[in-house]
Amino acid sequence: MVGAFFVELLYTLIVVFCCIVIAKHTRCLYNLSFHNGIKYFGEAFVFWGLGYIVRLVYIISLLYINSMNSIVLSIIHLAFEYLLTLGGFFLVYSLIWRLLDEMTSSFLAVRFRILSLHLLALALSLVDMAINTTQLLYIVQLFALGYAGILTYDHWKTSEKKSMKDTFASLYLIALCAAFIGYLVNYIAEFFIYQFPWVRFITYIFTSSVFAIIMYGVLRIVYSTAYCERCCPYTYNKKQEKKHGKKTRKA
Amino acid sequence: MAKKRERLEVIHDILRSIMDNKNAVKPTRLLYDSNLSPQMFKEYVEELQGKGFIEQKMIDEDKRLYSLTTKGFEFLQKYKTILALIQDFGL
Repeated sequence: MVGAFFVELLYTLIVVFCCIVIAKHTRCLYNLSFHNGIKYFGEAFVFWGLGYIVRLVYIISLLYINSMNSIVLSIIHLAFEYLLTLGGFFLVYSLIWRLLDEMTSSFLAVRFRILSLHLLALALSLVDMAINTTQLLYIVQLFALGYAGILTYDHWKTSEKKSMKDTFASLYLIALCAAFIGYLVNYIAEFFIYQFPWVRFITYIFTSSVFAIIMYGVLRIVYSTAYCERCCPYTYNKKQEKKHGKKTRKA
Repeated sequence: MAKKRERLEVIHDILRSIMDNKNAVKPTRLLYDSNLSPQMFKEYVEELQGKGFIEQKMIDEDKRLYSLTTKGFEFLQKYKTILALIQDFGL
């Protein structure tokens, strides 16, 4: 029981840490660019991070608080499912928002779409709660990851930039495929093959690796293109340029 | 036919133009550099002022100049990062 709890705690800590790092950096870039894709992408990880925290609370409640009210437990479970489902929806939305905005980008239309995502996630979580299962959660996550994978592949394949295939985009595509396979294996193991509890452990490794890869991608972009005081053209004047030139030649 | 510029690219061009003109540029010069219609230019400049990227300085009664704020400088510094994130994740 202690071992199981330790695994759950470690898994949650890794995922939540990755989500915080991704959300923090994307938030900074959104505050500068006001780019909706960056906003929705970051929000997906905010919802996932919160979802995993609530999930840990749910597990602690199940393992250690025997006398907990079943209604409270159901509400915690509902919150966990709602947040994870919303995370999946926002990831897909970050990839298709541009297409939807081409049709109509009025303030009300955008608000309506966001509200619809929240309501759909809530409805799906309520259905899951009513039939006392997590099947819908798995199916929605599989759909979200699969669809995000197809869209990313399409973007990767049709990108005009030739060097695109050498950037993080390839690794991101692999990460999405890995997440999809991980969820699929976990779904099959949880609902159809009951005798392999270790599959859950492997899925945890898979899932946390995917979050870590995405975090690595964000950090790589942020730090590889980071502002360099010596090289930034915007702070140049001729005096500095001469100094810089001399230093480079000497080196 | 030249490809239509993305919103971010237009913002970058406007901010870059101000920077290249020693951080003080007349509206007519900025309009010329930004390569936008007067209507679109007005919308962009108002948006950039509203979001705190640029500020307007009155020199005389009828002479005004645009200059970058700290946030405007920061945008120019992080422009490549923003583009890379959008490109790599297909956002």
